[in-house]
Amino acid sequence: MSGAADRGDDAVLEGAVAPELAAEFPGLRLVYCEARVPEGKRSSAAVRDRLRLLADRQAGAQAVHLREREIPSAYRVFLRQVGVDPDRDPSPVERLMLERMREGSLRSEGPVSDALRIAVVETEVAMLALDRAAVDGELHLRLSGEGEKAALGESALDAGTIVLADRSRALVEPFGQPSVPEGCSHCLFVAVGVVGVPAPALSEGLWCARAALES
Amino acid sequence: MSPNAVRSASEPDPAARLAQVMAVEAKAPQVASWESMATAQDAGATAPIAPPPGLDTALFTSDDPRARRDLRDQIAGLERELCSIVAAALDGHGVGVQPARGRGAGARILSTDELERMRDSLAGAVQSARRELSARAEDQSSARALLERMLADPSTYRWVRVSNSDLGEPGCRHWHSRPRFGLFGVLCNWWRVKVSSGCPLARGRPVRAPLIRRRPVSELVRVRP
Repeated sequence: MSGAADRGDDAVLEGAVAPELAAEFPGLRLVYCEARVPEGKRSSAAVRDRLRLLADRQAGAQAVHLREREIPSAYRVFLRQVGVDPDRDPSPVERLMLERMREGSLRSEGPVSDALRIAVVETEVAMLALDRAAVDGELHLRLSGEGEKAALGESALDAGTIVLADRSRALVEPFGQPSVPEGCSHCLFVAVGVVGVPAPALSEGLWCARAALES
Repeated sequence: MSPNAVRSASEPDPAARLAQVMAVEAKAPQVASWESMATAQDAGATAPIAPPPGLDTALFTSDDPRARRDLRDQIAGLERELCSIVAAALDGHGVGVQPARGRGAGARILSTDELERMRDSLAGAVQSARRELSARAEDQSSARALLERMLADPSTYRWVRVSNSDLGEPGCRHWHSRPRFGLFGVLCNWWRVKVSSGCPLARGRPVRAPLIRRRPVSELVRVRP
């Protein structure tokens, strides 16, 4: 991926949105950044402690009222508007909150996954992580074509599905649950913004994830 | 229609009718991009316009972008209202709203018809959530009135139990109308409301020193010289 290398690894890049999507959803945005993944299968002790503290701060009342907060509410509205039931397929922050309520904690699953969880819980922004080696060119949001499959996703795509894509193929649905790349040398943290999500929150999410990964 | 059926002279030939329809569709302008479609709409085109490749929706038959925008705004307002009602009821269960497509279908641009169905479904969910909340508030109000009457006259409400959950309050407290001194109280019609504080504290009871100090046996046994 040449874009991040030319601008330096510290850059937050803005991905394009296909014209038909931008016309229908003017607030739809895509930002991403590159981060170096440390060696080892386990996160550092500091990250695990931070994850534990975050989980301790989340209680039932916070989980119930999460849907009223500005950013989770914006994602819920957007998911309804694109035909997804947010109570069945929730946004990443609500999904993590449900996991916290069910499991009693936020389990540590690896450096990239933990960094992503910390960023999502702290900033409430919809984020996902991709293996940089699996991405060809710049990222953008577009509609899928007939018979297209998500390269990094789990199932086939219906035509017209909103997908995150690179230059050559569709990669994953932006609000799906892709598997987190562990064991790669560099990863991309991707944040998707909708109407009602402040732009600084997207950048903050990316910085938070990268700082947690490199700590 | 059976091939052996006799067709009257006034009925059109099905093959000719099909050819006529195909000829009309072939004359419809084929649009390959969003910009040219918008231009065609502005020019007052009345024939159905083909969607861009890969966009297989009913979007382009009778859709208006302004109508979709209005419907999305309505959906946004209804969703926020539904969230506030659910949060107010402290009920974490999702409300059944019919999605635009089957379960597990991905996100996509919905047509006006689908947005209307979504909006109507959300409006129904908001109404039913409001009704449920209102019914729950009535039940809690009745429970509070019952508790007041029970405290005023326990013997009238024998063995009646009211809990914090009936009142809509957190905690495990119960109010129970019970007889004093067991069977004797039942015979003498002595009733009282006993308040149970519910679950013990999570951190357990504090360790207290015993009231009677037990002396070891060695102190009790006197050895006579």
